[in-house]
Amino acid sequence: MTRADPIDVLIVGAGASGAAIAWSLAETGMRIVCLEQGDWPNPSEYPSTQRESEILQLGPHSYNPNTRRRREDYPINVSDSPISIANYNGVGGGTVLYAGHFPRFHPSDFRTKTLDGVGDDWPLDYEKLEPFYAENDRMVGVAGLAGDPAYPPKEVQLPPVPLGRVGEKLANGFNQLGWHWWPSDSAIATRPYQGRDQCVNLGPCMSGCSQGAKSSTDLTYWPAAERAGVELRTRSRVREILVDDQDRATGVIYYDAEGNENRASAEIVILACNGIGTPRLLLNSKSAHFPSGLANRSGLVGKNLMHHPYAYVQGVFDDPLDSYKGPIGCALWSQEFYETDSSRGFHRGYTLQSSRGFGPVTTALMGLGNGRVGWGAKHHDTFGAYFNRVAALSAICEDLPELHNTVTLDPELVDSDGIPAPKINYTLGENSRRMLGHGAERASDVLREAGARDIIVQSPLPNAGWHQLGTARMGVDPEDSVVNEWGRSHDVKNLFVVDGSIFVTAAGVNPTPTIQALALYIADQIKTRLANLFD
Amino acid sequence: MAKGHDKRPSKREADTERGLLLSLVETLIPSSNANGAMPAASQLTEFREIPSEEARLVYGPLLDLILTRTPQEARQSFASLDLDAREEIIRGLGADHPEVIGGAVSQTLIRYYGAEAVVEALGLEARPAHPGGYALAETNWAMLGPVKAMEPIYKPTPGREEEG
Repeated sequence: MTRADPIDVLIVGAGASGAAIAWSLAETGMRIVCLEQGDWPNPSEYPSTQRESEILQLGPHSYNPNTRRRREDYPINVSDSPISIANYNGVGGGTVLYAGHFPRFHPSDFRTKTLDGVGDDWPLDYEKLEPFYAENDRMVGVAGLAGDPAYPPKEVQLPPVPLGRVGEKLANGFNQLGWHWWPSDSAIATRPYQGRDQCVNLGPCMSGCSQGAKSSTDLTYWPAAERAGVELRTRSRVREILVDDQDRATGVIYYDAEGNENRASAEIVILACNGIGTPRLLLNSKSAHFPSGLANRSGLVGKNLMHHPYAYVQGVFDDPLDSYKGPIGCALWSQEFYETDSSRGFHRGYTLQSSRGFGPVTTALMGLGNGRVGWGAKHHDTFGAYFNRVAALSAICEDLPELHNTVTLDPELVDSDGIPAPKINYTLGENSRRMLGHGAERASDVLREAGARDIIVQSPLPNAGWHQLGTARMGVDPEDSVVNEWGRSHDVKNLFVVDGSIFVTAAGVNPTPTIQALALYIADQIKTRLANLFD
Repeated sequence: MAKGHDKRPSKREADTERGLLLSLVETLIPSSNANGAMPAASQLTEFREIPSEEARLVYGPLLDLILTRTPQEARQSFASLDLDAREEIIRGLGADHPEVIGGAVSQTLIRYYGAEAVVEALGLEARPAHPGGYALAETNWAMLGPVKAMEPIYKPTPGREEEG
């Protein structure tokens, strides 16, 4: 069946960036349709509504799509990567399963080449993006505390997430060392905010927030976008983007919930599929004019994949910490080691993020894996010494862009609609390795200072590919970038990319605020340039 | 269990298999009074009533090892041996088959700590986190005093220093 909708703007993907740009463009009155391969999430089915929540997180509610294996999940070949991918395919995208950590980039992150001689400078800077960070913060409702000396002045909307015993332990450790720390900026409603209820410290934010306190875009942007007239079609998986002889995108071919092939025509096509889904779709959109994949005359589609390698360091304390209570990833951060200091042996830096502990099932399995929990006669003693006694710090490290880290199409693997699936080739660079080592050592220092009697280091964390960046980078030179300084493809002048794939560098913080600020910025550019958008 | 894969076991065989299974999981997680009264895995409904097919899937490889790789005497009486002797047998097998032991232990831990009786024995509430949630004490932000006294530690955008 072919549908001939007169669509002005067609957005592919309803996650962090797709939601933001849909909402922002809605005020133009253009006909906007978003195609999302997954469905609306149902918070009443999230694991925290079940007593067996931890067990559900090991399978059908895993953040690893290769474990979850729902119809809407495309498989990802990670056999050549030490880091596997985490994502969510549905309305809200990764924001449904993220921890809610909501740090902005720093000014230096947009100028790594100028300041440190590594990576590349972005074609925009912090000051240009700042109004869009602020607009996004208001939509999301950021909990935090103004005055962080690690950032230029900025406002928050809500009081910070309580530190709890875990956070207080860590804060004491940082204070003993005289190092920076600050309550995390968190996309969590610590008070009722714009119709959403406040956080009640359920714990497992990363399997969806049943309370609706975490700011996933199914709860923030999408209701507002739909009220403004945006049409969101779920269970609609795009196979390829179509182009005409003038190198203009004419629309897409997609499969609906019944597996029927459909065609949607549009004046503007916007990709918001994340740093893996976007290059996958572009590489699946080959044509006579674009034999190497759509918008890929630079050859950079799928190249320069960046993650945030994590060093995860647990400290085991003597006293109970109630560590399974409260947002698992949000309490405090430290940016003591964020900016480059050449004496450390690597460029750029990292953030140390606190992490609370886990429930008994996860604790037991983690303890079995790291040797702290045994079986047999010693089981209960070892488990008792570990459970509810863990406070952790993660060093989230800036990965540098490297051409050999790629997303390509797997020659055999396909999704449930038969569309070729992505393959990841990724190796840790030497700079990232050194940074991970430094981060693990400094995190251990804090934990020891806080009173930990045992330190457990896992680096790099293998199941931590939450952030997929850089695979359709932005820039002013068509030879050296896929999209221009306001997100438009150099090669296809009515094709835009707004997700994390346009990042030039990765910074040492979680990317969602920057992804959404960029989407709002690009929306603003489209609105400003409507009269000559395709020139 | 190894012998019963291709046919439905008699009730007597099934009882023997179940007894062997319970002795195995009791060995992996015995009872304890060290941290409160923690039951043995074998005392829990989750193991006593585990469906046969599931039991074979999870524990079949380890039970096969016990039945085929241990001395005849121990094989015949594994269930009646004391805990230390059973643990010694399993640890002996683990040297050559760590993945088999690891798989059985992991599955036992998941079922054990997912059991309501165990959650309560740990002193936790056996309920979903939502909707009740949990209370966290308000934070005394006076702890931030030393950090608030710091000078800015970020690098401004080159060329925009004055704007900051």
